[in-house]
Amino acid sequence: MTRKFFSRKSKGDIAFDITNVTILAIMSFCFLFPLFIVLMQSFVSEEESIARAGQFILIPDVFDPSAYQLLLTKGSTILHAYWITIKRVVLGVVVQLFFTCTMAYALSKNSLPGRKLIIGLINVAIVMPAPLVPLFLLVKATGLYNNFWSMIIPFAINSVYIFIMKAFYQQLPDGIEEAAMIDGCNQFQLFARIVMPLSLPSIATVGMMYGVWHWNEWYYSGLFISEPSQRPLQNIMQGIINSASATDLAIVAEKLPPVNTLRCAVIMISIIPIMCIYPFLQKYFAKGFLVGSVKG
Amino acid sequence: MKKLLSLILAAMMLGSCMAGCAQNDSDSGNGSEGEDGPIKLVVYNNSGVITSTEASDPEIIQQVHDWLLEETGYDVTIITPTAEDDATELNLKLSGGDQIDLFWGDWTTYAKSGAIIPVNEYLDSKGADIVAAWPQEAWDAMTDTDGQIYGIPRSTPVSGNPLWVRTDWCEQFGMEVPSTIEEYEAYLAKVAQEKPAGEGTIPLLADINGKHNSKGLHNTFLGAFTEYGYTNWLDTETNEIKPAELQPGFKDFLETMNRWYEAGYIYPEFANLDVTTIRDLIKSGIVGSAAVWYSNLTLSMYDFQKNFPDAGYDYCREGLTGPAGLAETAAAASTTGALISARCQHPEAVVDLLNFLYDPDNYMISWYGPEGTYWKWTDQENHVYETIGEISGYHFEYCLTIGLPMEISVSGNNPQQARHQQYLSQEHTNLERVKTHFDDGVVYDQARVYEGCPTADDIDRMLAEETVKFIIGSRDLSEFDQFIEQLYDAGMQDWIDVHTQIYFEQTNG
Amino acid sequence: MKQRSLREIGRYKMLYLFLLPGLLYFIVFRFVPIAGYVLAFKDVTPFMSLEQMLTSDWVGFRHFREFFNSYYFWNVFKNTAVLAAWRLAIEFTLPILLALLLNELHSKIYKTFVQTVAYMPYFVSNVVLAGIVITLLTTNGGLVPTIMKALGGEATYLLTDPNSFRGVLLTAIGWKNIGWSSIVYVAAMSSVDPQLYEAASIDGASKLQMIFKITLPSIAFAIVIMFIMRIGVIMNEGWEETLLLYSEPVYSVSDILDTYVYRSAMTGSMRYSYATAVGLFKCILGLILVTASNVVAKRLGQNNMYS
Repeated sequence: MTRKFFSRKSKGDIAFDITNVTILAIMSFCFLFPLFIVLMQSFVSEEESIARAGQFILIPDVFDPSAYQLLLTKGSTILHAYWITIKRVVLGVVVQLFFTCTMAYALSKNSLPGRKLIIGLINVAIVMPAPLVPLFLLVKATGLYNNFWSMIIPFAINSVYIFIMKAFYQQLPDGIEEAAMIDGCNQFQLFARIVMPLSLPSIATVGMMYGVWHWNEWYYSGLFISEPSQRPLQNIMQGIINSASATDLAIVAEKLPPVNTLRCAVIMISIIPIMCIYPFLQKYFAKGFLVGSVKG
Repeated sequence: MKKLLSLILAAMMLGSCMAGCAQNDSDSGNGSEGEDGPIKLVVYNNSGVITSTEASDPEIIQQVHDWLLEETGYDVTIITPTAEDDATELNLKLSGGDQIDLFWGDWTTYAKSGAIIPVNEYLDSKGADIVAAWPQEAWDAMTDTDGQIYGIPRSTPVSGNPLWVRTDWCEQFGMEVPSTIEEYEAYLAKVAQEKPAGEGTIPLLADINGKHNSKGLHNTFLGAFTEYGYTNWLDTETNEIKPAELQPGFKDFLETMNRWYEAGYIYPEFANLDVTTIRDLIKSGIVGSAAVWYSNLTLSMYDFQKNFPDAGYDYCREGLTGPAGLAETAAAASTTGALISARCQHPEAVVDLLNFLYDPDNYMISWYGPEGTYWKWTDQENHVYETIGEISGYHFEYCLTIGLPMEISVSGNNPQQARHQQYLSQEHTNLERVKTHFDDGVVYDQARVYEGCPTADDIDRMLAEETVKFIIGSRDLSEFDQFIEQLYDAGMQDWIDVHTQIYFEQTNG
Repeated sequence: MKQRSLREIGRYKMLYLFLLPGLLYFIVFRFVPIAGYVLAFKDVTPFMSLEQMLTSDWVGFRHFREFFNSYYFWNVFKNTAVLAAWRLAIEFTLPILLALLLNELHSKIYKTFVQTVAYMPYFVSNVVLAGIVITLLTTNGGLVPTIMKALGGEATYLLTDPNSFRGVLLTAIGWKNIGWSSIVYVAAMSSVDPQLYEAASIDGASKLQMIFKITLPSIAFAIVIMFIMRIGVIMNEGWEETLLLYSEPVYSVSDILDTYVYRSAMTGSMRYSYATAVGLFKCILGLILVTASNVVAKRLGQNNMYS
């Protein structure tokens, strides 16, 4: 929170402020500029890429949207993949929050027998990620192979986030719970009606992190889902880029825009939705991320 | 800490039990019916022919499928590689017990763990056309020391890395297409000086991890500096098989490449290029010469000439030469081929199916779809076809016999394929202008190599990595002798010994 | 009395019920696959069936010995350590600096704007990040070589130059993560009571003094917590970015345990057991780090997050 009180501005203070604003402006520029370049280069036509070959193109002379047309009119594939990704993010986050919060809440009670053991196990899980082949065989064995849920269930909990939620629950004052218990609440009602609403900022943050992971993940969904039309967005995007490269007999079915343009268009398509949504959720981060450590 | 360790052990034991139980669940139907109904075959088509991961038109797939069923009696399903990493995908499928009868891979890796079976008897009974199609060198590469053939070849020794040069720029400079390294260097200097395509002109575009394991610079130029080119060779003084990098003259090669790199002739990103980028650069007209796998040129020629009607690429037809002779080294017949899985219940049927597709008429349909949809014969007797519109609903899924013999068995009017077709049928197998591999026909069993030289991987990596560093200049060439010492420190002598052993066994006995 | 203890047991029953879903998940999808590390002691290829894998020969510590004797062992180990160390260094300086600067802004609008912009790169996937880096660095019209030429130097390809690769990789990872990592610190700083600043100002403190005496201590705890959280897992990250950007000429500075494992397991000679052994080695390193950080946390008297 910015300070709203009046402060005597010394020369040093003014110099500081100016420097501060400038530095931050430069930083903001650095964060944005690469994305801007990609956006611009996604409109470079083939003619222009030949005419200005070897040069750095900042603003194209001609804005050629053919890369986007190509990508979006291969139509149902991309829209379908978008839909799958959105489904995955929403359902994935819900599932993950369910698993994570319940377990974290239970573990936040110091008196629970067996608690240390389980926490130790989770620590082990953090440092020993599942190797690929056994994980794959397991996915098959549980019938999840080629199933939408194979992108969610095997990743239902990120151990680190359990600890975040647990620490949050631990710093909730006991008084609240005791009061509720005296009033006759059982554990479940307590959790659902009181604890959850209080922990909304943490949940929003953890949920956001899970969501971003789902949005960007491509490696496992490529291996667990064998039906290309059922794969999420990132996989489809990669496939489109590589489709001209596979073989001696590569017949380029349609005239492709220059490779760089196509790549940039793919990048833009895959990040624009997130860029639009997240500013609205931003206000939750600041509150939620802080885990029982700061006074006030 | 103790608790954690005992927990880990307990978990592992528990896991093994559960995994053991799970195996029963995951045993997917391994049988393919033979008693009732046609024989079902499943093919994982990673032969390299399928271009895109997009789904084809299901109707067309069904048509091709039904045609096969009618003609051969086999119910063939194709699995297209879809993951970014199709080696991993294939391995996972095999491990998980999926029904896969036929797939492509390196037989030496799969045979040693019994994942594939030899095909001699089936070739004898059903594979006459297949045998006739491939030359002996191709079959040798697929055969082990006991005479067991482990699959159907995918390649044969060919000239795949000629040095392509811009003919219109040659004219501009008043030069001929270079036939010696000296002439070529003069050309490079001119290009770098004049920059005919502007600031972004690339005098030499090379690849190092290209298609079919093409190392552009090595395959195209090494022969000019060393006696044998880019191949293992026999050091007659010590009677040992050594890798190409230990040939006298290899350092000269590196020096020249480094000189070209420092002078700005070689495109700096050559160590990191993919096929799409290479073709794109060529089509944009800024490349003065190219040492890459030939298909990057031949398949881009049409688009390139659309953009630049007066331009062209050619190479020295007699073979570029240098102080040590012909510069180009052939691409050897590889040990990659069509392999039949050990779990296949009807291997004979698989060979029969492939044999059927080794006929040009049948090949055509499996490759390009049903007749009349995207193509039709203009001269069926001579197997000349013409395309109808653009092929968009079929991605060559059922094409199981891709390879030089079948590719040149048909010819079409497709302008995009024209130069490629021409190269394949008339120039690809011209081995007169290249140095062939010294140990053609000798197959080095990976298992034995590792036994004799446990650090074989390290050595392979060292050879590849350090030579690139010398070329780029991040390692100074004065350290070349140190590099050789390093190799020996890492176990080079063991590598030499085991390869020498295998070589003499296979050439004498 | 009976009533209370009954309720207590009942209470625990409920809690166990809460615990159940997560516990099941861990057992099935985390611990069962851990049994797979057993393969590090056998000799299997990745396409063997489960049966084959379980019944194949036991080779004991052979793969581990091979790895330790490998010419590249120290190189890979060193790269992993160096990359992790750099990442930690960047992660615990720049985001804090950013948070400090943000905290000192007077304009709320500007602050929100910069925050929005700073958090944006985090949502870019690694694949996209690699694409952006390549687009910027390509000598065929990329921004960076153009700048290099404009400044009078040579336009080299930074991704194949061992001297610059690490810098590029760290810059890319930093670009993506700095903003996001600063959230915690911004939040902590913003909850400092403004009256503290007022009082200090009245006492005549300069801005810098205020920063050092008030702002920084307010986030000390957050820094420690974050550090402990990160150090155990820092080695697991950075491999995707590396995998997407590295190439042979720069293996010597960029090849880390994870990329080494990736190459050995599924490509070339497919030495899956060997790769698993190396992976297991890495797990043990991670275990050591996590345990060490837990011990340190206890020493510092922190309410241990991990216990």
